[in-house]
Amino acid sequence: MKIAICVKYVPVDSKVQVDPATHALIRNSGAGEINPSDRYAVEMARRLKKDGDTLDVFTMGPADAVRALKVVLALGADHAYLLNDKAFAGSDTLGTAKVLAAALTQYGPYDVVLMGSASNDGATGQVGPMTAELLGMPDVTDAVDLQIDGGQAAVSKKAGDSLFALKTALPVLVTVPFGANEPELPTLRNQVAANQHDIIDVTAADLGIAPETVGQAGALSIVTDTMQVVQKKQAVTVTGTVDEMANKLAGLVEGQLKALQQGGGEHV
Amino acid sequence: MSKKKRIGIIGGGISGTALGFNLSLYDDADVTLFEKGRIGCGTTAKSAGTVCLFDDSLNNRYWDVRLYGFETYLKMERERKGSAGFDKTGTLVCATSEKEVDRIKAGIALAESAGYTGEYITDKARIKQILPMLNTDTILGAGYTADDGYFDGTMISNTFAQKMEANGGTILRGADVTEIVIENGTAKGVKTADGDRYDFDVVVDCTGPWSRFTGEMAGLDVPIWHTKAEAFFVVPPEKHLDYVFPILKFPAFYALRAGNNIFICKSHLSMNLDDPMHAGQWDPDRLPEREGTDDYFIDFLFHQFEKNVPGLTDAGLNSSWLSYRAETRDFLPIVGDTPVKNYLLATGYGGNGVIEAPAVSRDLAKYIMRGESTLLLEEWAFSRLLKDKGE
Repeated sequence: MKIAICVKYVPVDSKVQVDPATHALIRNSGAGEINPSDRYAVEMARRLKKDGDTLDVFTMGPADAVRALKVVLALGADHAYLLNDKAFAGSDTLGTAKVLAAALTQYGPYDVVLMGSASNDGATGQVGPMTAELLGMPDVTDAVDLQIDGGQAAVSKKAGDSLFALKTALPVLVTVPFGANEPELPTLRNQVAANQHDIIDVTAADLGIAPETVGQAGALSIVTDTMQVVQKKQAVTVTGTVDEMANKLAGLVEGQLKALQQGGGEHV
Repeated sequence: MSKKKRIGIIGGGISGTALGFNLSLYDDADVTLFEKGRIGCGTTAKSAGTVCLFDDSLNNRYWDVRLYGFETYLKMERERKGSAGFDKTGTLVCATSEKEVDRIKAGIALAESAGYTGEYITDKARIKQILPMLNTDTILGAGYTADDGYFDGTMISNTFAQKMEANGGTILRGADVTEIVIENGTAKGVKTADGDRYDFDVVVDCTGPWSRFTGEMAGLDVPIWHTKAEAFFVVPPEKHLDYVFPILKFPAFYALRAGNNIFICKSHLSMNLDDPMHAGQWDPDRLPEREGTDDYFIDFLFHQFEKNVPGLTDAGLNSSWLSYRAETRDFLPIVGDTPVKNYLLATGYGGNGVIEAPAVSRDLAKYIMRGESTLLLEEWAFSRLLKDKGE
């Protein structure tokens, strides 16, 4: 069985810069890490992989994104592909899906393709289903368990507080939400070995992609603005004797209730 | 009533808050501290906070500095538990040469003279009892004390800040100093990003890795380099250890427990200021909150562990971060007067800010308020670095 995992290298903190013209994140402007929900998809892929199976990892991003690939290599991936081309920069979700679908076709076919349900920067959750559509394969989003048996995939899909048990034919694309399992960590030994592993660089030309169909040029969705989230929550330290603290807490709760009733209120 | 001496401190890390507190103990000091972020939030927050009674982080020549720091924090903990974030894990200092054996034994003697316990152990089985995952074949012996451990630099900074404010000092949080006011070669005050001017009799730069930039505002070339402190948090294969993982010190690296993780880092004294992988001039404002590390350091640590602590080579790599230490050529801080009159430094602590800040701040506060210097201030004066440059 051939398994593919697609991961995203995302910024780790709020210091990332935003392009004032395109409102897109400048992806080489700060440190990054593997997207949190992708970790759970990687773990699902690891558990799925049996002797004789191959696990390939793909990421589309800047040169620094090899760091995400190396983590997945340390966790058992066999081949790592960095989809890196100036033409890819500024891709919207469809552009990203086009590039991933082309790579998965070029280096596949794959029986199972896994991705995180959503990235923690864009958080659209669209890339997985779009990629499946382009590949002509069924997809299941928010899967917390996946078993392959007799050419079929048995998937537990999370929907609110419920779990749906689904079956689908292979090949299938499955997206995995944050918290779906308990991801294994790469060991020091495996990470050091993975850091020496070959990374396969892939360009638009390698995939036969016309540059104007992806990236900023091919984007069908336009980001009109990017705004900083204003954090209104404030921690309040309550000190004093037990009685004093209880009184202060009661006052805070009453104040909040009153403010909520009036349609306002501080976030404490 | 005599006029109070106005002192402006730039930087609210361990250096600035310790100095602010010590100055606030003088009735005739009017202290204002400027912190552009939060107290203890910069590179102080990324300090391992180890204050070991006899490791190699600070030469035994300055053992009293180490002891004063350690006991300052113990006192904080007695006053309010947790206020210095003490985790009493003890320390195991491994000797790989006869020179280190001598240094460790001298450190143990000094610790015992101050009433603490310490022993130099050559019985390998006993060493493995303390830290089972160690390979004792590579060491001659180890010094061990159960009395010390590591502290939390951010907690300490906030405790110093609270004490300083309780004594009447002023802390301006979110106040970014953008200009040092110099008139006729003398520092007269500072200006902040919002355009306000504050006049002082003395300005003290406590900005650590930012000092080179802060110094430039005063027309001063502060001779510090940034060395990379790349820390990795690993989960031991056993997940939960059934023994207390002590601070582990080797000449090239150290490790300590951090919750259920083990924190590992290359030691600051093993950094080479002329190696561009180790040291350079970087912008601390661009340090990420986590990650940002180089493969070089994890490779280095893996090979050290493969040889010395094989029990950690299959530990899971949980997270990492990059920080910058402010180091001088001799790896000692720069404290006191500079060529710019009334512009003082308390910077360049390297990896030793938590250890050294209490004693340095005690002495520097006395110097600022009473003009009385100390042997420590004389040895760590800016002028020694000018001599190195032939000036």
